[in-house]
Amino acid sequence: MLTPRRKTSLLVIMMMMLGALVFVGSPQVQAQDGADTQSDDDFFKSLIDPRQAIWMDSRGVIAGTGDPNGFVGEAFRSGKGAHPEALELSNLPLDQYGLVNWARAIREGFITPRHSLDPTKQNKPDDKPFGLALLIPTKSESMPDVIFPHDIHTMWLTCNNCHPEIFAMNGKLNNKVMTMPKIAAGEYCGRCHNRIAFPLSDCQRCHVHEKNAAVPEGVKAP
Amino acid sequence: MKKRPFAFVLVLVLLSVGFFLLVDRQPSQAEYGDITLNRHAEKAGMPPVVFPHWFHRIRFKCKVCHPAIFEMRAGSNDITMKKIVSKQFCGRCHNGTISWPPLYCDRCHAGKSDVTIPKARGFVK
Repeated sequence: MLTPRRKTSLLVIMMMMLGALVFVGSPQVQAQDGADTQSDDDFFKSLIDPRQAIWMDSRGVIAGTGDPNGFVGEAFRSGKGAHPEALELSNLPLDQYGLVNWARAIREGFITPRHSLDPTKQNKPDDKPFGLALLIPTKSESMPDVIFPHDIHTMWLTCNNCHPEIFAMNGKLNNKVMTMPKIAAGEYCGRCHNRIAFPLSDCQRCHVHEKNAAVPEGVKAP
Repeated sequence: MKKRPFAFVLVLVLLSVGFFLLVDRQPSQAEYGDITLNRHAEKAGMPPVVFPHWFHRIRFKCKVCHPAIFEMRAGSNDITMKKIVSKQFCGRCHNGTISWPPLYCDRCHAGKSDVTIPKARGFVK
């Protein structure tokens, strides 16, 4: 069956496939190399005025100074805009879509974002998150109800980000007017979700409560 | 009959070339959640700004900037360099005190005119 010529051509093809795989995989390999060059980063830190450096990733590793001849990230040098590869290096937890899971990132301490620009407030602890969880019944019989957790939202936001402009301070009133089409059109939850916060296609992150099941403890039913 | 292996190899070469063309190896220009600021930039002959939301989110909670510095609705903040230099909007931090001053144009004006922000899949308006 396999003549020597066929064998040779098969070998060539297999090598090409292998080469293609290595070629496609190489950006990730480079990214990992970049993460390991801590001593290089220390060296560059010593050269650069820290106020003028762009701190590209969450570990404070310098990736650019704005000088095209300097120590600049590959993407920045090729004019590809803001920090695309630094996010890959930041080792933040990801969701099923490969987007950053910010809720896990802040809960599990991957990041400790500041809560104020005011230096007198920066060193004081932030306000405690507001714990109230609300049960929001869906209008569809087939879709599980939503449990809205105030606590993860108040880890990021303060009351007046959402109240009273986006959501009235009246749960029953909100529940009447809130619908998925409106949310998908950018109202209510859609003001942030689908744009900055996780996308609406991640249904099960909000629709968590089986219809007609007992309301869990600590959750306020309307 | 003798030519067959050659044809076979040729087809596979073409297939692998196609594979290279199909696989997008370019690093993306922006991330999910980034904001393009281009109301004034390109009219003034500058590349658009791509604001890396994630980069700032690692360092600051939403409430630090919203809604006091930036209104939380696309298009509702009329940001100009003049305002930034007078310490409004980005200039609230990018003033040489909290972060680097607005003297390095290409750090922010780094977007291309055809920059696309990755959108969420499904339920997109």
